[in-house]
Amino acid sequence: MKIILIFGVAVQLILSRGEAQTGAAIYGYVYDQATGERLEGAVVRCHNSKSFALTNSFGFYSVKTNLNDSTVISVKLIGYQPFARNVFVRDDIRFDVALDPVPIEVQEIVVEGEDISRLQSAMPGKTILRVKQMENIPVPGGEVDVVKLLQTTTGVQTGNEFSNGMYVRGGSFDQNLVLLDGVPVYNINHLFGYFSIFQSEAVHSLELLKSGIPAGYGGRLSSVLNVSLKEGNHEEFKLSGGISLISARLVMEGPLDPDGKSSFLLAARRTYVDPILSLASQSSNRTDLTNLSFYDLTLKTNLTMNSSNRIFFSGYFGGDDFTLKDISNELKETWGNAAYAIRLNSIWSSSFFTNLTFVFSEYRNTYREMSQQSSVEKKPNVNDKMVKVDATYTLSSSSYVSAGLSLVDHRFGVFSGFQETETNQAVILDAVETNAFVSLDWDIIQNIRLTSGARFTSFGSGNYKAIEPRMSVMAGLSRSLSLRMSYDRFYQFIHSLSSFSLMSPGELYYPSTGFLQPEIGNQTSVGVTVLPEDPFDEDARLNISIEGYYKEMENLPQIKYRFSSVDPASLEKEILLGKGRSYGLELNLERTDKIYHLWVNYTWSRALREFPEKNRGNEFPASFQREHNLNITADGRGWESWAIAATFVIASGAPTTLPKGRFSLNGSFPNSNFYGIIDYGDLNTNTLPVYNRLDVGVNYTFPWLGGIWKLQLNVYNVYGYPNPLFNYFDVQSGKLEQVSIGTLPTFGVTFSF
Amino acid sequence: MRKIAAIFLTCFLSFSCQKEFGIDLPEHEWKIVVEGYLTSGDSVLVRVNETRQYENQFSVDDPTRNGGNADVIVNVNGVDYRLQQYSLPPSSTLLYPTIYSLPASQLVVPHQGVLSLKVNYRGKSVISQSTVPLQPKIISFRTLPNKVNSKLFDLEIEAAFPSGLSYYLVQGSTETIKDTASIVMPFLSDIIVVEGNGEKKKIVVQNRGRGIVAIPQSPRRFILTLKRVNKEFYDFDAALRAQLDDLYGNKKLLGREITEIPSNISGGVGIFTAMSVDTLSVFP
Repeated sequence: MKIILIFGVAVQLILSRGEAQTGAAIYGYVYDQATGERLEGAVVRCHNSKSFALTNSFGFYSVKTNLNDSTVISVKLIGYQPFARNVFVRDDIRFDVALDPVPIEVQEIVVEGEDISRLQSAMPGKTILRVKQMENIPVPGGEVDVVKLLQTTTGVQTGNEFSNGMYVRGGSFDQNLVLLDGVPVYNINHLFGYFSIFQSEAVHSLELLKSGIPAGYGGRLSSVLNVSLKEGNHEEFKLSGGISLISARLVMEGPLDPDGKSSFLLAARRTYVDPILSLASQSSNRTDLTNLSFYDLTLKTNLTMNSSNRIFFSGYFGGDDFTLKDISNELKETWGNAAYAIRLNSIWSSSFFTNLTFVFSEYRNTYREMSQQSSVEKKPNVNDKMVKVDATYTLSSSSYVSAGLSLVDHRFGVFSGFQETETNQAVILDAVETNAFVSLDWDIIQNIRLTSGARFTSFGSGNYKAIEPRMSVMAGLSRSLSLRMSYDRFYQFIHSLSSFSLMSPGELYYPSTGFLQPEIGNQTSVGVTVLPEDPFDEDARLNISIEGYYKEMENLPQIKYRFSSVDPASLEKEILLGKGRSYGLELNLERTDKIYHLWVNYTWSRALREFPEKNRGNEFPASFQREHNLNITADGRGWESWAIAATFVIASGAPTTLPKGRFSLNGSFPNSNFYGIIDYGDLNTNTLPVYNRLDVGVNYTFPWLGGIWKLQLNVYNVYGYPNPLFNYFDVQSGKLEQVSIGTLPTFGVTFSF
Repeated sequence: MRKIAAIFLTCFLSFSCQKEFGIDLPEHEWKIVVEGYLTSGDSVLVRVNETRQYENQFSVDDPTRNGGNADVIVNVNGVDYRLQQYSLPPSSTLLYPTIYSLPASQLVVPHQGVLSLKVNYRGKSVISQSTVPLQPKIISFRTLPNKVNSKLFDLEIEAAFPSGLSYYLVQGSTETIKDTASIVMPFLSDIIVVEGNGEKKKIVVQNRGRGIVAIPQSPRRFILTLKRVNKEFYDFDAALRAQLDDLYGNKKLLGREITEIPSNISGGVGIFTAMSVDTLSVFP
């Protein structure tokens, strides 16, 4: 015990560098002056101690400074006017800062001294998208889809045309931890991937973490996608919305009390494809499609209880409904998510901040097939209840520690694929997951920051224990050059089992148990961020970041052929466990001036898989691999009412497997109805043609009826290149067929009051 | 699910277009095809064949392209046996693929041991090997009414199953009083997988309605044949069923990974596998 105490004191002295005796803290929230929303990622700098802090996801910061001294406190965040104030420090100071937003057409000008903020935001392995800054980018459907915007960034592969599938750095789509205001969401798709469940008007920002992932996150192998909802305007009531090709949406937000201590945001969206399809079916006497629709409802409220405590409620409920009916058969599938969280932010002292969260998350799916002969109904689902607490303690001007605990009660309802047998009974699997993490952020010396931590997990159904060390070092080599290295280890205890190569609502979530071991991933990455002077325009801002990574994965599950039993004891015959390996190089260039914003994202990557019983045990490329992938997006905003944006994508063709020959078995002779068995030979040795397209969006903004209206015209794939939506081998013709979408113009209107 | 995707895509994305893809099939990788399902106590029979380029037509008129004139050697517990090519009428689909065997008086599949295969055909050799699984031992069985079709029966089997996973083909038959010469076969199961612990255990095998489905009104006896097969055969059979469903089901392969057929024929494709069998009759 004495040894631990002495060790603790020694660590405290090293980290504080002896400053604790004469130090004080300046702490508080940084928020948006116009809306009252708390702001994440703002750089708060204390000039006399040369210490700085970034506001956390709740807008809280704490910086240490010298006692009985005056200092300048400056706060900077891209998109806001910089703030600076001289304060005299006699004791710990609560200092909340309101930042003025800069109008979007002038906000990207260079602000002196924002290098740290820019270096942070351009950090390799981390992508931050603020929806407001991306709303002109053309996407199909006539409304901003945040996941499709993410797909234009480095390291993210899409899988299929139009799909919202996210394959990050060689990981499969179930290896992304998607958090909606901290609540894990399992399926982020509407309409089989055409839309994401995130309604853009309700989303404040997205943060995609691909490497250097803090120890507070775990449970997935490849990435963390943090989707932050807007808090709701604290100052005034606002109404906004839009109509697109397929859906209509409405967002209301405003204060709940005159003092602005509480606010709300309510967003709703629904498709109107179903009545159109119904009319089309009636007019053409078709009865094979009767319903196809989705809806979303998002609610967020917050209440400032006192100067130290804030409470939030976030809720999402949405789903899809698909019905297919003819004279004798009916097929109906519904799926959707429910995600709710109550959070309590507490400031206990100038250095100590906690966040207590209660979470409920559910993914539900109902598949019903009725015919004259049989009726099959399956309801695979997953249901999580979680309580977690995490805390941040500022140790010194150069260090802070984060720690947390969480307890998750998972319940999985699993079913046996799509075969009708008597064994298709519900199997309920319960698993209790316990997590603890600790993480230290420490400026070892000036401009070298170490973030190290570990995550400890116990997963109940298989009685698994795991330790995940995480470490990253960021070295500021100059004011415009930083280097970052990171090592991450991950465990994944929840697996999506599907025999489809694309995300589908029919996927089955299954916990680690018995034969189905936890997936394990190790990733090492090295990246550089440079903020060079623009040779053509001294007012322009240029960010360049390059990151290389190497990742190994174990125990990747894959359904062998067809899922016929969900009994955990039988998984050995249903599932293959294999290895994965991926590596690549990601180059991101971002240039901004007063006229346009340009992103150039290039990724070179390999994603490989190895299963003992596939491809004769040899390694093969994953179906979603795109060896080269270049995205160029330009957003012109130099005109008062008009804005034009374009995205050009060119990528290597996806690997595919084509027949190397055919043969027959059991003495059956090939005939006009039987073309034999296919010998595919080695897997994914063929390559589809290069993928490419150009999308253009034109936006016209104008005032009308006291509000701001925007007309959006997007043209997807302007030159109509036949990129494959799906490919399939037609056994009769012996040809590779494809379904593709040519040029797709879409139209949308948005309004804001 | 594929149906959903297919209909969704065709209806919802009505502006989409389907087109033939301008990509050539890869060059044909010529391989020897071997099929050998060897049951303990039965004679050895191996079929030899070859793969074809996808675009080429199959023909029964060229026996040299249907596995004919191959040199097929089976090694049983260390002794080589050269199998003889069957002679059948020309231009018969029975020639396809070519059958190689020996009379039962010369060679039968043993109840234990290792079987090896070597096939030389058109200048190329393939090899394979299979171990005869331990013979299953049926303790008892009884018929159960099938819940879907009253004319069918399921089977409850009690046997000593080894520890871990083991694989079986179940064949249930009835023999009638009126016509003792004919045995009808109510069903042959898919390969079933049993997790055992080395002790006796009861399993229920469902009748999927394959084969001759009617139960005779006055059965004289029920006959159960339990074949223990190797995992290699289970994997091969499961993959084959899945691929046939992919290719010849009424839905196209939208978004689904292709199904490759695993093979224990080194350098070729197909299966060479040994099985052991136990049979028990019950008189009602």
